[in-house]
Amino acid sequence: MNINNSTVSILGWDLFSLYGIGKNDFIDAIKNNAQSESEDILPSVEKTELLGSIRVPEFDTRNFLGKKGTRTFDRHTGLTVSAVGSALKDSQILKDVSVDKNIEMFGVINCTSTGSVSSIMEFTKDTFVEERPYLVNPAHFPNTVLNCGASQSAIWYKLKGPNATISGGHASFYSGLNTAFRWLRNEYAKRILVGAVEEVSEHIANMHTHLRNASKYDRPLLAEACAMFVLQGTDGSEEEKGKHKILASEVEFYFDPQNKSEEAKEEPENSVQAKGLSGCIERCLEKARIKPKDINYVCRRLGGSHRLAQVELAGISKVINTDALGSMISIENITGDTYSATGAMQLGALITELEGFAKYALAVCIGSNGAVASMVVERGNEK
Amino acid sequence: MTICITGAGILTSIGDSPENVFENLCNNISGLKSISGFTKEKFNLQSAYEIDDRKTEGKDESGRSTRWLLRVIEDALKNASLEPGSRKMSVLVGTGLREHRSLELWNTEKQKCDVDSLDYGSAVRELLGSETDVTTIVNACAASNFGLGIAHDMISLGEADIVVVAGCDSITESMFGLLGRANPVIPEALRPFEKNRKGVIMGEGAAAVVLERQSHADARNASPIVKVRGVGMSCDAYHETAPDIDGIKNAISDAHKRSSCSVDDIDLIMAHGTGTIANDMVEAQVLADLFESRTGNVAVSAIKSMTGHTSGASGLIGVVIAMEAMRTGKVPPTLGLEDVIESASCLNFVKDEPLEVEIRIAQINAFGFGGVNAVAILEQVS
Repeated sequence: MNINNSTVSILGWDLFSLYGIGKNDFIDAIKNNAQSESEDILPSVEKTELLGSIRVPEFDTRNFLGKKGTRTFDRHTGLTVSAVGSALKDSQILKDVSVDKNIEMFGVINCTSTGSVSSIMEFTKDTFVEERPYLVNPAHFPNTVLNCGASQSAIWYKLKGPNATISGGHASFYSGLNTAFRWLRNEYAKRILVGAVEEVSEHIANMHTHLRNASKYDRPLLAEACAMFVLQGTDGSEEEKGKHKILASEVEFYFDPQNKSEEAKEEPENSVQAKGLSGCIERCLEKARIKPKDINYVCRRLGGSHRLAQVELAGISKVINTDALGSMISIENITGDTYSATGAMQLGALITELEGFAKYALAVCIGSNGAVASMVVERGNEK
Repeated sequence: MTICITGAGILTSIGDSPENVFENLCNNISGLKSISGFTKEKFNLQSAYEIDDRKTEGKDESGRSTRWLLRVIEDALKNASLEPGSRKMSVLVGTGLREHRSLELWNTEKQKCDVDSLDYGSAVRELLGSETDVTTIVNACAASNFGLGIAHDMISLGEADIVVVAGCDSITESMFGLLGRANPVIPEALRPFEKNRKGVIMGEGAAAVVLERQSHADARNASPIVKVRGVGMSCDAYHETAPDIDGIKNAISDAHKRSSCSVDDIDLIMAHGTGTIANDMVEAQVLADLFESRTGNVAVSAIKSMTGHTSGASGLIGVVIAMEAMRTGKVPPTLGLEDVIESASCLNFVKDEPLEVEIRIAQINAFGFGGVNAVAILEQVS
C-alpha cells in the first residue's frame, strides 16, 4: 500500500513495560541494552507466579486511576486508560485534561489481540463452576468486547473523535499507525492517540502456550506492555513544530510455511519473508524520502524464533548496511514478547534513540502470522 | 472521486445471497429459532437468530464465523467478476467478537483453535493469497461500517485499487449469557422501536462488499452496483453500553458532510434498531431531531427484527440490503412493529409489507458498545 508523502508529529507518549509504570525505566533499559543485540538474556526482574510470563510490576488500576469508576475495569482496560492519560499529560497541549474542551476531537486507535480473552475465559469457566452461568456479574459485560480499552479511554477523558480497536498479531501497531495517517489526512480528527496493549494473565499465558501453533519455537518470555502516543498531522502549527516525526509506516504479508520449522533447509536470505521484508523496508524508506544510508539506528523485533530471527536479519541486511549502523537492538531481548504491543515498544525505543544520537531511525518486525512491517522516524529540532 | 461497490455477498439466518435474504425480509420471514449451539438449561434466553449449519445437531463447532467470512468474500468477488487470488488486494474485516467462539470451545472442550487465527487474517490469506493485506477492526456492533469508512479512505488516498470490506460474527456463549443476564425480562423476539419490546437477541451473520473507484471498475468492465458517498464516524465518550444522543448525531452529521448531502437528500434509513429500551429511544430521538419535518418522507426499516443482532456484521448487512432496496425499488418491513414508541411516532417506518419506492440515497446506521458510531451513505448508480 502507498500512503503519499504524509508525516505525523509525536506530541507526547508514555509506556508501561516489565520495567515498570511510565517510560523512564524503559528508556534506561533501552539505553543500557542498545549494544546487547547478541544477548538473549532478559533483564533480571522479579517474575510473577506465571511461568514464562511477566506483568508490569506494581501496576494496579485502582492505585493508578483511583477507585471511582474503575470497579469493573479489567487489567487490559486499566492499562490502556492509564497510558492514555499519561501520554496526554506528556504532550502538554492541554492545560487540564479534565476540563479542556480541545480534547473532544481526539481520536483513539488501540491495538490488541488478546484484550478480552481473560474475561471470556472467566465466563466459560463459570459455566462449570456456577449452577447457571448467567449468575456471573453483568457489570463485567463490557470487558468481553475487545474495544473496551479504547472506549473506556474515550469515556474517561471525553475523547469524541473516531475510536477503533485493531487486532492483527505482532504488526497490529503498524496497522494502527496507517489508520491514524488516514484519519489525520482525511480530517476525521486533529489529534489521535495511537497505542497498543497486551495484558498478561494466567488465561492468556495458557492460551499462548497451547494455541500459538509454536511448539517448536524458542519463543521468548511473554510480557505485558502498554504504550500510547499522541499524534498530530504535520501542519506547521506551533504545537507540532520541532517534535519528532513518524515519516512512514508499512505493513505487508509474505507467509513462508517453512519458517514455521526450525529445520527449514532454505537459506534465510532466500526466504519469501526475507525478500518481502526487504521490499517492505525499501517502500517505507521511499515513502519517507530517506535513503538507507541515512538510517543510523534500527530496532528489530527478533522474530519470535531462531529461524525467524535469521530471516528478519537477512531482510534488514538486504537494504541496510548493518555494519555502518550506530546501533541495532532487538526489542524482544529488552521487553519480552509483547505481541500486539511490539510496534509500540519499538516506537518507544526509536524515540529514545532520537533523543540521543540518531537523526533517522527504523523499526522492523516479522510477525508469526506472516506480517512484515517497518516504520521510519525523524528527530525533531526541539530537545 | 467516485467510489462504488461492484460486488456483494451475505449470509444470515434467513438466507445466503443478497437476493434471497432480501426476499425473505420482504416476506417477513424471521430467523429466530430455539438455540442449538449451547446447553439450553443454562441460559435465561432460549432462542437466537442462528445460522443453521452445524454438522451435528446440538453440537457446536469451532471456526464457523471464519467459514462464513470466506464464503461471503468469495461470493462478493464472484459478483464483482473477480477471481479469488487473481490479484493482490486489501481486506478489512469488521467484527465484534472475532473467532472467540472457537476460543471458548477450546477452553471448554479442547476443540481446535490458534491464537493467530482469532482475527481471521490467516484464513483470508489462505483464500486470497499469502500476500493479502488483512486488517481486522474490532469495533463492536459498528465494526463493519468502520471498515467501510477505512476502505473508502484507502481508495480515496490512492493506497489501493480494490478493497474487500467484510463483517462477520457468530454467537459466543459469554456474550449470549451476559446479554440474557442484562435483559430485565426475556424477550420473545427482537422488536425494534416497538413499545412492548423487551430487548436484544443475538443473531449470526456475515457480509462482504468489493469497493473500488468507478474509473477502475469501468476499466475492467465491471458494473458498479451503488456508490459509497462517505462514512461518518464518532465516539460518544459517554457510557460503556448506553447510547448517547449527541454522539450519534455527530456520526450522522459527519456522514452527511463527507457525502456532501443533507437530510433533504436521504430517502431510506436502515436503522440500527436493536430492540433495546435505550438504543431505540435514543436513535428515534436523534432521527426525529435531525430530520424534523422530513421524517414523513424518509422510509425507515429495522431488519434486525428478522436477522437478530448480528453484531459486527450488522452494519454491512444493512449496506447490502440497502443496495437491494435501490435495485428493486422495495424497502423491507420491520417485523413485529405494532405499537411504535412515542419518540419514533413521527418516523415513517415500513411495516407489515414492503414499501415500493425509488431509493436514490440511503443512510445505514451502526452503533456499538463503547459508544462507537459509524454511519454510511450510499447512492444509487444512475
